[in-house]
Amino acid sequence: MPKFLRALLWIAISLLGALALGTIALRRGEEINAMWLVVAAVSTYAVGYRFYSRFIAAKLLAIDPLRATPAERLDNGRDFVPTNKWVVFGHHFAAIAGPGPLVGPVLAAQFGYLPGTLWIIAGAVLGGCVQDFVILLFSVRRDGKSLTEMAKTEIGKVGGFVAYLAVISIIVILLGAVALIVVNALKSSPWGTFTIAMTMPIAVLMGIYLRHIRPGKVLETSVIGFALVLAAIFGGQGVAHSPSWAALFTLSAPTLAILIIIYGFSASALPVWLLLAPRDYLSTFVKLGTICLLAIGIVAVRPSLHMPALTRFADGTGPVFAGTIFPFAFITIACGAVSGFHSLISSGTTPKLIRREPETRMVGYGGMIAESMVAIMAMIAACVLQPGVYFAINSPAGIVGQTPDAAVATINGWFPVTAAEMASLARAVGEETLFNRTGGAPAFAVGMAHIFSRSLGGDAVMAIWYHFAIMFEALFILTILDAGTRVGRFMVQDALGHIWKPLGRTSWYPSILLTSAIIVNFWGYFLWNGVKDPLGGINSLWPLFGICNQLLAAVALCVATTIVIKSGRVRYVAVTLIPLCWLVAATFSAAWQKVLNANPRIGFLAHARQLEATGASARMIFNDRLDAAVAGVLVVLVGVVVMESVWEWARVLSGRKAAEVKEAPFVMTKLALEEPG
Amino acid sequence: MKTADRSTFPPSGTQRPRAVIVGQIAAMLANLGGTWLAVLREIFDESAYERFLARNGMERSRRNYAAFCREHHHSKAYRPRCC
Repeated sequence: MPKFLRALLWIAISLLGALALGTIALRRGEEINAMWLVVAAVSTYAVGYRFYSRFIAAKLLAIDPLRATPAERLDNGRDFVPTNKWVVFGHHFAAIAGPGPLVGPVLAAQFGYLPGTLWIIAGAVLGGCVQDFVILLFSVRRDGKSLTEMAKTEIGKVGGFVAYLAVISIIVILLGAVALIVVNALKSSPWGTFTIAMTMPIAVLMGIYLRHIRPGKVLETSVIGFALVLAAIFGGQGVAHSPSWAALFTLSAPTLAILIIIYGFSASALPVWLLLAPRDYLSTFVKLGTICLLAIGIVAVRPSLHMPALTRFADGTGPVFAGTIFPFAFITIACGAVSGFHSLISSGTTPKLIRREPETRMVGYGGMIAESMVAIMAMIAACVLQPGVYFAINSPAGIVGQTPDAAVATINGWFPVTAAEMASLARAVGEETLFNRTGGAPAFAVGMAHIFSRSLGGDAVMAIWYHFAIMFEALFILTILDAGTRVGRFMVQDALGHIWKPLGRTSWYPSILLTSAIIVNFWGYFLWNGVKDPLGGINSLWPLFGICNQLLAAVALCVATTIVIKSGRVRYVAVTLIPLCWLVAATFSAAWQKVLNANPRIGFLAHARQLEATGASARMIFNDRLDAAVAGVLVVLVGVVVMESVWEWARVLSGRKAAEVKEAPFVMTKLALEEPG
Repeated sequence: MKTADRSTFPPSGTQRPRAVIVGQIAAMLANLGGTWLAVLREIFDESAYERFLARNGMERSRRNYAAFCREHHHSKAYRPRCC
């Protein structure tokens, strides 16, 4: 294409993006079409990828197409394998995409669609994509080293230790928070509970089929597993309509919590091939298909957003979670904008598959753009609901009232909704009730069912789509639970192995049982507290998870900034330093408010004092203090990493320390010769 | 990834026969399908199994798949799934 035509094309894309952003930012008092959000996001991502990521690749990272990657130099056909860039992109996206970008935007929609959407777009282009890209490239230049190893070698021992501690904390809190989402989605729902219960024998069947009948045919097995899961969704309808079966699968939140804790323990202790691996394959299969389907559904239906741009809850009095837009919108939406967890993937499997350095741009920056697009779709799914319905589903009973009438009376003070409307919606999706279904998953499922049913099948199949969406999210989450419990178990085994060697042996059953019990107890404790919390648990756990996740991102950006400074590219340091400063500001102020705010709905300690005054149980008071301690300790530790990094930068910039980066030595690539042109 | 052979394109300004256009579209779709399948085979560890067999000079069998699972699932189990 001629140069001037290309320039014209990019000017047109930029103008279109500006128009769409202007429309979503300035339109008030009338509904807008969801396509404005899609156009704003796609145009901004396109411009960000074409210009900003290219600038980062050329100026900040000085990507070298002639430098051999570890996949080429250390190729062993096992961990290090030079792989086609599209294949690595798909692999990386499948690894970073989880329930986070679906749940966070749904919760943040209580502020209206505007704050969350702007944060998703700007946060991804200027923060999340940058973090994923630079960490991936730096890991590639260090033979695929992990974030904790890079923190140790580039910043110092404290950095490495804090990164380790942040990883294990985030895993524990993440598991507690996501398990609570499943509990809230399945409580008193025989259809959903039956479908999810069936995924366990289906996964075991898949494991046996894969191991003994068709060894190695994973795609074929996943297709069979998916067909069985669809049959389970249809079977669930029969279960919900049968009084005896429905009674068996209608479970309370505490019962579901106990079952999930038992499941997590079993999955961690069972052989990987029997449950974990097949469930992982099944979950990935459903995930990729559903995300594509949702994108097609949104474009085909082009729904209107009923949620206003900004709601009254921008003042911090929101029922879904308490707190003002800054900092709480920014920690509620972590995955989809900036997620520290991605830095673990970018410094895990992905760098060992990259064939050529320039491909890190598409995989790292581009992969995060795709994840951010998923978050935009989740925001749309939440905002197509009538606001009254959204708040009826997402508000805890402790805030709006225990009965439907009480809840409707409270919510009507904000947005119109009736008990009859909610009952009719619950019937349409095959549930007894949709009141107080906190956690984001049910609201997302109703929004998704609304979009799907309008594009395929009409209202008659709304219940099927709703339970498909619930199954999709719960499958995602249970996969994270079993994989996360196992990873946590290995980390505990590594640590205990220093005390007594046999405890470090990952195949020694007494050690497996002990360490599985330790890690399950940790996240099970948070889950149990969430279930018992009158404010719904999500109010405490999701912000805590968001803080942990973005503190990890702050550690990753500290590592990146240190490497940039040591590489002598100080004039471009703002690329990583600005997102780092933003994350430190958002997470530290969120943590400060969560610990010390005088409002009992926000501050853990204020809530503990309120409970003490009302004579609540000592355990509930202790839980609040524990949450405060976890947030406080993490902030202090990350504060230490930030200070250690700043100290390192000062020493390098003042010439007191030699600017040395610990990269693998340069080796000329042979792969460049194989490519045309 | 394969790219279209530009020498087969007629000079600009001349009309290409319909069969050529259909052939090029079919080739592009086949290329796209092949890449998509390669992505799925990598995500679902089928390529890893092929590499394992090639590296050890083995044939497909239950026993060899069990050996692959022992090696591969060990490292897979160490990987956290993202939120």
